[in-house]
Amino acid sequence: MSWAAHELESVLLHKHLKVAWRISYMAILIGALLPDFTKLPVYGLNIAGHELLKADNAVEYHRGWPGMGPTHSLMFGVLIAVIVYLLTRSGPWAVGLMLGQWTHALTDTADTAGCMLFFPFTTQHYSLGMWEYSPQMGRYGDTASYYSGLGGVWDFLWLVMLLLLARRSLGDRYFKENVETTDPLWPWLRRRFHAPDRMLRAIFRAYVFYGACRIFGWFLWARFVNPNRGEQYLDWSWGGPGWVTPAPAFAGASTWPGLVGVTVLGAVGVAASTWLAWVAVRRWDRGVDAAICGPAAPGRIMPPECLATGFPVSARVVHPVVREGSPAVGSSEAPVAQLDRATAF
Amino acid sequence: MSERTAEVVAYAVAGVILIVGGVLLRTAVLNWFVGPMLVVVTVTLLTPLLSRGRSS
Repeated sequence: MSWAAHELESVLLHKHLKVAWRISYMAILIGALLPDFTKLPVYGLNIAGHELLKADNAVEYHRGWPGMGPTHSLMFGVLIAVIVYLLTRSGPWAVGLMLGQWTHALTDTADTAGCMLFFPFTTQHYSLGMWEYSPQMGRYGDTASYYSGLGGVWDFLWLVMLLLLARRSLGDRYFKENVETTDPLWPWLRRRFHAPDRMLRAIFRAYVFYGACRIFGWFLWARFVNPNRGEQYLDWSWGGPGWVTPAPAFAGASTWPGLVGVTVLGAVGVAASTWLAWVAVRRWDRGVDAAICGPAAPGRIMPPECLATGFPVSARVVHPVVREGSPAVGSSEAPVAQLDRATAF
Repeated sequence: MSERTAEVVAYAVAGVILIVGGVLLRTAVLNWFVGPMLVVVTVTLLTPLLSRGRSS
């Protein structure tokens, strides 16, 4: 598994997709964290010396099938996107969650356990084997392993890439122009909690900042405070550290032709299912529009509920931005100019 | 201290708390909820305190 990489990759992804699709940053972030929401039984809960909710086989539970392994598959992202779109009709959120989840699954293929990327079409695990998957060593054994091997280097590389390629994406201007104005979440936070600008910016940066700091915090702990640091030494060899007791390996294709076969089957299955889901959602979208709104006519003003809230672009909708100290949109004091900042998807 | 500078200082304080607190308290600080929340709370509360403290 990757640690800080999941927090850092969301900003990089948003930076490179924002222009094309106006995707919600928060959706990408939540999508990137989503597959590990079921991770609690991997380590279990330790209450007064009693271990609760702990899975018998951490790797099987987290990455396998039967288990929670499908949360690290590409189809899980598609499923989440379809459910969210059907509930909210927000394309930027549905696509953002899907892409965030995909980055998580792809990033996690770097360890030795790998992920069933093409589940349910195949249970083949795909792995680069850069560092040893080690939750079977317990919470702090896993931490020490990750930050004593190439896992820590991987996190650090993401941080370097973020600073080199997307550091401006953490600036105030980027937040105002590409995050706040493209997602109704931010105006809602401002209205509901009277959140000042600095708080909204802090929420936007919180996971990236936390991700960057946890690299240093955990590395320093593993190397200088960890009581087992003597035997849990630094080992940057491929597939290391060598002191980790390996998790049981997953069965999979044993020959190259077999691997190519299941990969083609899985990739075609995922691509076809994603396309079918896309077509079905578009049809449903048009059906809802027609059922609620009736036929469009020139000059007819459509009620707000008739407007799809985003990608795919079947209609245009505005999300007014209320600045600090300005009266709420809709009140008699609200200047018309406020709507100039509104965003059309 | 300008609000901009105060905000930068608040982020620096949050970073120090996360790293030092993380080394000493481990998952009590470095978990998915407390860690990011600590950043938001520190920046939101400390920024006005710093900018007000210096200007008064």
